[in-house]
Amino acid sequence: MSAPDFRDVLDYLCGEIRSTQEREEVEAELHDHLMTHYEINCATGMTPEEAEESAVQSLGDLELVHKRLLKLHRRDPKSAVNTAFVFWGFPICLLLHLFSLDYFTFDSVYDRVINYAFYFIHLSFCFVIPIIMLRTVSRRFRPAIFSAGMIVASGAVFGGLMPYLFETSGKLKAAIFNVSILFFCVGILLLLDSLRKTIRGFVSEKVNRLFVSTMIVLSLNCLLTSIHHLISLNKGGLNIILYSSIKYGSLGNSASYWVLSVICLFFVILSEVLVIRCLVLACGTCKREPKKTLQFNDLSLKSALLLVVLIAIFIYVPHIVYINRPPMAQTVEETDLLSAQEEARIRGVLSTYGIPEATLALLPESELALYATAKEYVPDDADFRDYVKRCPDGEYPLQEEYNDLAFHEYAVVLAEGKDAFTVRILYHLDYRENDPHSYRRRLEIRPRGAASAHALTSYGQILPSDSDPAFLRIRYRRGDTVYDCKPFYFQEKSYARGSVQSIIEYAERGCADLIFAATYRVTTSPLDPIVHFGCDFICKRFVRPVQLWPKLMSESEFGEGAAASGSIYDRRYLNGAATQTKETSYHCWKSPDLRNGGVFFTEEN
Amino acid sequence: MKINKELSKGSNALMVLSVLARQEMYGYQIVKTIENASDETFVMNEGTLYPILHALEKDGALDAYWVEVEGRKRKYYRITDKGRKELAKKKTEWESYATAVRKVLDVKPAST
Repeated sequence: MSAPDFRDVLDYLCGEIRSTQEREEVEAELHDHLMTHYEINCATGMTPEEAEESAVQSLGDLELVHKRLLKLHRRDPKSAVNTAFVFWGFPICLLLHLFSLDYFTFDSVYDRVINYAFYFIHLSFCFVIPIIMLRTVSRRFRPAIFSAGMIVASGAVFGGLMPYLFETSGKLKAAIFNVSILFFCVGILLLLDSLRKTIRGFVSEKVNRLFVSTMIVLSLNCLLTSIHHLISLNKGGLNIILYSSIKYGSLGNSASYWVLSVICLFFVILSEVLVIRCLVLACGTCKREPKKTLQFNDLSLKSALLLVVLIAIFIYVPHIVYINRPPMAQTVEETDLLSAQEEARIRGVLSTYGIPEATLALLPESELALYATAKEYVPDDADFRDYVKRCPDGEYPLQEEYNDLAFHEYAVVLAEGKDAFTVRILYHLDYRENDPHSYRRRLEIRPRGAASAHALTSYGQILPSDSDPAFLRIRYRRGDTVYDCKPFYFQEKSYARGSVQSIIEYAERGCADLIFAATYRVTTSPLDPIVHFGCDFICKRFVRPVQLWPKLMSESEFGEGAAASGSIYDRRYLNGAATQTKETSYHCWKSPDLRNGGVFFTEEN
Repeated sequence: MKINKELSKGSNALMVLSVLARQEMYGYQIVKTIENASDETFVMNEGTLYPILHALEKDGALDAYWVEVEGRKRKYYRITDKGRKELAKKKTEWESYATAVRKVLDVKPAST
């Protein structure tokens, strides 16, 4: 007679334990116990039936044992929530932060250091939070969560960051990239599963499940990332979606954005709350030793004060120091006719922007003298208003609005030459941030007409080896720094994008002006890590030129010709009051007849 | 002599920790060790033992690992540092308790 399996008894005792792993472990342990009893009983001369019955009786009152085991192995809801948070919250937080990274280049080392320091503080919190949370997770899950966290982190970095690194702005490309990662993960999953079966018996079942659960989490994370790329309008990431949803009610009239927004908002808030919790733990002066959970009412007065001080140090001190930094030197010069000294100065200014001598030579001296109004101007609010008053009607400044996103733009023309090029610096003042130091400055070098092609090809600072025609990237060097530029081609007042190669072709035909736009960002409130975290990123991303023209960008991107349409709302201001509002829609048809100077854009007022 | 279950209830965890402090054991072995050490005074019901073991494991006082024995998986328990501290504390408590009970039992009737 074969040995009994005690199935009925074990089912009765353990069948209601919800966790599969715990149920199987308790069953295995009790089975071993019963079998040991059974074998000893048989050895003492009992019949198998008697030995089986005696073994079961050794457990005592089965109903009582059943109740005790059930009570002991009841799922702890707090632990389940924490586990779920670490599993899902961590990758989502990390992705959120990664998508929030701003890829502007900054005007000064100071800006760069401040901004990136705060980015990394936030990213660090992403790692610190789960580690702190691990304290609250059941011991048995800690290795699983730790390993899953590490793998998910790598997945998130690859899935979230790599598309940016490669400037794969096309959402399809990013999605393909992520789907490929997904397949890669599934491949590893299958491989590990086969290994698991092979090594079964050498490692515990728990380790086996670790492999599987870890890889499933990783795969799901990559899948989510892929979905995100597929449904997002631009590469602005989740914050764009969040912000737009809150501000405009919807983005693309899609319910999915709302869902994502709510998720984002939840985790942004949660992560910030947890940052505070981390600070509380760091204070280490709670009323009692924090064990599984730490509540805010555990805070002693001392730790509360410490918390306030820490928050001040982390947030407000850098903010205050930054906003109160001395303004940059302001010099305003205007000339109608340039002196030799002034001309030399302008050329000097131009050369500081990396324009090679060969290109500067294209600019005739007479034209430089005739057209150039050179000035270095760093705007603040008062200067800007003063400038408005002095401007002729219909000229600068121009306030553009796009989806209620208002900013002021005016240009300082450094040099302009007919059939040569215009060099100007564009300033965008974004009053929403209410910061006199906050503006964007864009240097534009616009070779015109026939000079365009020559200017472009002779522009020695462009790094052709790093420039990627397919991905719309031009790299150029200014001083010791290499910048990524987004090339636009320009017609009338409208921008469109094209590959480097196509722009060169247009320029050779003399059909389009060129713009190399390198955007610098200067801002006062780089993060306010806790208070203004979300919005600050959003503003910065939204005012990107490419973001202002999502329709144009999305439809003309990678296009051999141009296929774009979009609307621009122009409001002209006189003495601070809107005098006229004009809405202009631009439509660019496919395959324009550029050679014959055919209609490139049609305009509808 | 059999002891009343209610009387031994509070000391079960103490006894389990105590035997595991000397050697790593599995369930059946623990029961038998306690039984032998107490000259069969404490015959611990296995149905009582496992919930105690699981509770101690959850609290971190015990650590467990699996060993393959004759084609069966057997769960061994070992005491952790936390468990040793807990054991020392429980021992002190028990000794204080026993001393106090002894004192009460030894009280002589007051002379009139």
